[in-house]
Formats: sequence, structure tokens, C-alpha cells
Amino acid sequence: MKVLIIEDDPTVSHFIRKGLTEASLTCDVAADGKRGLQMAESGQYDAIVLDRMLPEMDGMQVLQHLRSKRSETPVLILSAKSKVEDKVVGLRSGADDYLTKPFAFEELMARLELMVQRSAATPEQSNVEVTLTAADLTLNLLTRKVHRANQSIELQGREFRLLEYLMRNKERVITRTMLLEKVWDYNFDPQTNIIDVHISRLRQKIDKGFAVPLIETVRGAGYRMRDNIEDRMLS
Amino acid sequence: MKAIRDFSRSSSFSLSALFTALLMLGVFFIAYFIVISSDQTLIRESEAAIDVDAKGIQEIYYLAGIDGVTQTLRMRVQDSTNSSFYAIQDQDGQMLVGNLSDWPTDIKELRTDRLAVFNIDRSFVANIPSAIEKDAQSYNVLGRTMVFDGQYQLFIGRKIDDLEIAQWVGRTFGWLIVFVLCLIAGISLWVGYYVVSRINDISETADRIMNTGDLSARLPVESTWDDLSSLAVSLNRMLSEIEYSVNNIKSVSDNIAHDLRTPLTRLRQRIENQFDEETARPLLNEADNLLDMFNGLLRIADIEADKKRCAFKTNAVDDIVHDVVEMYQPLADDKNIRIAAEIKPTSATCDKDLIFQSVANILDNAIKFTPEDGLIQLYCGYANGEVIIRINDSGIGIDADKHNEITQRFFRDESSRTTKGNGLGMAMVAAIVKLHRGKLRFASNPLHTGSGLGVSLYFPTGL
Repeated sequence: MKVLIIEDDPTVSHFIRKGLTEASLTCDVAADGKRGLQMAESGQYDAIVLDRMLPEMDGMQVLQHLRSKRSETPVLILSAKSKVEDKVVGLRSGADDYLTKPFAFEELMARLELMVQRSAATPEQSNVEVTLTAADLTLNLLTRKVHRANQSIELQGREFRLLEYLMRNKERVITRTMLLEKVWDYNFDPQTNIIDVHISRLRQKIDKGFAVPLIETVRGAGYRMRDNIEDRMLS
Repeated sequence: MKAIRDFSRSSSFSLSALFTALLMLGVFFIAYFIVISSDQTLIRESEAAIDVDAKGIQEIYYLAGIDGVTQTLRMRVQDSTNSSFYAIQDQDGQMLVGNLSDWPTDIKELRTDRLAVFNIDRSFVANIPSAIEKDAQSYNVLGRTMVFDGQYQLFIGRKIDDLEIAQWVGRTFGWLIVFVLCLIAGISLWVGYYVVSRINDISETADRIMNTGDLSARLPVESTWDDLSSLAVSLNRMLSEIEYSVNNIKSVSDNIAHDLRTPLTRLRQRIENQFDEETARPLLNEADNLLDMFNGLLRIADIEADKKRCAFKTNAVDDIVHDVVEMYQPLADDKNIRIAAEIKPTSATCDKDLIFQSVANILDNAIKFTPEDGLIQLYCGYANGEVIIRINDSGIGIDADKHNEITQRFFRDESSRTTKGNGLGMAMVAAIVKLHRGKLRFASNPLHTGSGLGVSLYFPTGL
């Protein structure tokens, strides 16, 4: 995966670059809007991290130019503007995700991976699915039944949606903010570790009594639904 | 909202009506006295002249007999400056002298020595006095008769058409005054109406500015001559000044947002890069707390200042409250707190995320400050046509005299210093409630458990 970072603050771009390189991804950095647009138009990138306030050309303009030329490269906007309206404007202009500064690298990484995966998936793939599986856990979207190792598990509405989201994105880091946005569908600031409480409830139901826990806490980032238990146990 | 709903109840209308009434009264009295006095004066003058004339002729009769009288009258009639009518007849009804060809018809009814007004047709006048216009059809004459020694009867009359003219002038002026009065009344009404509608325009614009927070709106200026437009012009100048300052402050706070976030990002990144996980975690937590507080402040300022209601839609408030309860239920369960919720179907025009945020903040506080095995009572429904969301808890509560401090930023009661939190939750609730034009009320010991806090949130169903 090749990522383009359009960011004028060298500390931030250096930080992102370092993190992505550690995750063995290649990346290029553009320090202003015009240069960034030129590089983006070459079409060789799988994802673009775009700062909103840039010299030469504003981040939003870069995005509009890109989208007007039918470039479908997924774009994540990085901005110090945290207002809901700014977010909405950003997403309406064709951005795929929006992250406010300051951010944890894990949050950026999780969102980038999800964004690229989503843009790569064809619509048919996601529609046909009726059952989701992760290791020995299965979730049926039609009957809304959940089983683990042939044991039936009773879940309530929100728990079901939480599990569904985690399972759809198995083996990927899902942050708390992502869960708030996608599972609860409220744009809100919980002021409490409420997501952790819900995850621990879900764990009680699907992990308790089993040798291998499937919901894994990723420190400083969020959670990950495990799928390949054996691989992990070996490593 | 209009400042003056009914224009007839405005002060300018009352004043103009009062002035019009006073003016009418004054003009009426003046006109009355002028007409009365001028009428009387003219008639009295004529009466006096006739009486003097009569007395003179009587004296002549005593001194020179009937011949003297006829002589005198003949001279009078021929005098070119004469403006009187004379006639004298003897016992047999024979006209002796005078400028009337015949005795006036209605003279018989006239008692001697009494004055009366006659209408004398022109045909009666034999010798029209030269001082009298000759083309009139008839003359209005004030006159009297006299009898000398029971033999001769004399008639003396004076034309009073001048008096009629004076009366006509009086009448015409009367109508003119009535017309002017109507004009004044009309103009006063229009002035009243104009002032009221201008004031209403101004107050409506002011309300709009308050409600939408749109400082680019300006008061209408219709002309350059009226005082209200001058006022509007200076108010508009003030608005421009305020708009300029507010925009400055906004851009400054936007810059703060940008300028502080970027170094915070760098700080976080330095911490992540340079320390091991063990050391970094608490530092990152502190940085995140700082950021949360900062975000909270910015968000409150945003809700308070922006007044943008673009996200307002008709929402099922009961669903939102349900979602909050569902989200926070696990927290309550951990402390074995029972949430007794009565949520009735309720819908209102509101911002779904903000209502969720406010109910979540209140419920979060209630759970935080209610000890284990406590009770939280939640109600959602309508009260007096408004939406009410009430959350009562059996927690530690807040003294009643501190209730008005709850919504201040960074308010933390002494007893809650040790609890996690930044003291911005209720300030945010207050800002959200204000945006929804609602009100926030607090009560102590709402469940009669000895302590606890009751928070009630009211807001109208539509904007």
C-alpha cells in the first residue's frame, strides 16, 4: 500500500511517515497543496492523507480538483477544525474519512486501513454476506443468531450491532471513536469510558468460558476482533 | 415578534389622536365665538343705524310736520350715497314719497316700532338707491315702521345682504377648517402608523439577529429625513462594529483551535515516540484530558455563539432518550443502580446529537454521584405543550444555594472533587438547552431519599 501525505507541518508528516514505514508501508510527503495535487493526480497512491490548511492551495480545493477529475483514491482529511459542520463539509466534498488533530497514530492507521479496504471491496461482496465468521464465532444477519463453538449466544440489539461491526472488520483495529460513530450513530462526546463498558459486557457473553478471547484490546488504540487464532497462538 | 402588535395602542397614535381632539375642540370654540360675535355685531350695528335714522325723522316731523319729512326723504332718496329704503304713506294708503313703489307685502304683520327682516323684490323698488347694486333680484332688508299722529306711516329699511356675505364667508371658512382638521387627523394617523410599522420592522430585525445570530443582517433604512431612519443608521453602524468584533473573535478562536491543536499533536507524538509504553500512557492520558477539556470548551462556545440550527429536524425525543438510557444502563448496572424510566412518545424539532449529548451528560452525572443500590428516575414526555425530560437521582445532591452555579464552566462541588470529570458537562447542557429556547431547572432531594439532585429540561416542540 502506498500512501501520500499532504501536510505542511514537518513534525506531523514526519510522525506519520515514521509510523507508516514501521508498518512496512511506503509513503511520500508533499508540503504544499499544489505539489500535493500534482502527485495525487499521478494516480499511483492507494490512499491520501490530506491536511485542510495548506500553503499554495487549500486542502478542500485539492480535494475538489481531485474529485472533479474522477480520481477515486480514498482521501482522509486531517484537520485542526473539529466542528461538526467542518466535518460534514469535508465528507460532502468527497472525503472518505475525517480525523481531527491531535490524533493517536493508531487511530489514523486504523482509519486508513479500513478506508482502503472499503474502497477496494466491490459492492457485490458486501451485499451477498449472510453469515459473518471470526474464528469459531458465527453471526447470522438474517436470523440474528450468534453461535460460538455451536453454543448459542443471546445478544441484545446494540450488542448485536457492536459485534456485527467488529466482525465485519475482523483483524483490524477499531477505535472507540469509530465505534461511537458507526454503532451508536450519534455524534457525541461521552466524557466517560462508556464504550469500554459495553465491550466488557460483550466479552462476558462471547469470551467468557472459552480458552481464547476473541475481542482483543489494542493498547492506546481500541479493539480488534481476532480471526486466525492458531496463527496468533503460534507466534 | 412585533414590538407593537396593535398600532392603535401605540404611544404615537394616542398622542396624535389626543392632539387632533384638542385641536378640534379649540378650533370649534374659536369658530363658534367668531361666528356668534360677528353675526350679533353686524345686526346690532344695522339696528342702531335704523333707530338713529327713525329718531331723526321723528324730530323732523315734530319740527317741520309731514312736509318737512317728505322733503327730507326726497333728498335722501336722491342722494347717491344713500343705501336705505324709505316709504311713507298717508291714511288712505297713498304713497307720498320713497324709493319703494309699493308698501312691502308682509308689512301688515309687522307691529309698529319693531324691527324685522324682509325680503323685498326688485319690482317693488321704484328708485333703486345708487349705492345698492342694481342687478340683484331681491334684497334682504332689516326694517321697521313708524306712525306719525295716527295719519302717516313710515318704513325705514337697510339692506343686510352684506351681513349675508359675512355669514357665507364664515360658513366657507368653517368648512375649510373642517377640511384642514380632517387633513390633520389623517396625517396624524399616518404618522402613527408609519412610526409603529418602522419600529416593528426594527424590532423584528433585532429579534431575527438575536435568534439566528446572523450579524450580517441590517435594519431597513427607508429615507433620509425621518428620525427613525437616523436611529436605524446609527444602530446599523453599531451592528457593523459588533459584526467586525465578533468575526475577529471567531477567527481568533479558530486560530487558537488550530494553533493549540497542532502543538498538542506534536506533544502527543513526541511522547509516543520517545517513551516506552509504560511511561507514555499516563502522559498521553494527561494530554488527552487537556484536549478533552479544550474540546469541551470549544464545543460550548460553538453552541452558544453559532446559534445555527441547520441540524434541527423533527425527531422522536423518546427514541433519543431511549438510546441514552440503553447506552448508560451498563454503567448503572455496575453500581446496582436502578433506572426507573418512563418514556412517553414525544417528538420535537431539535438537534438529535445535542439532545443525546445533554441527556447523556445529565444521566452520566446522576450515575456518577449516586451511591451503590441507588435509584434514578427518568421521565420524558410533554408538560404544558413543552417537552420535558426529567432525571431525578438519590445521589449526594448539591445544596440548593449552589444550584445557579451548576451550569457555570468548571463548576465542581466540594464533594465531587475526587470524582473524574472536568466540570463542563452541565455547562454544555445549559448551552444546548438555550439553543433549543428551553429552560433548565434543578431540585433538591427529588425522590425524598434525604439527598439527591433533580434536573428538569424543558424545551418547546417547535421553533
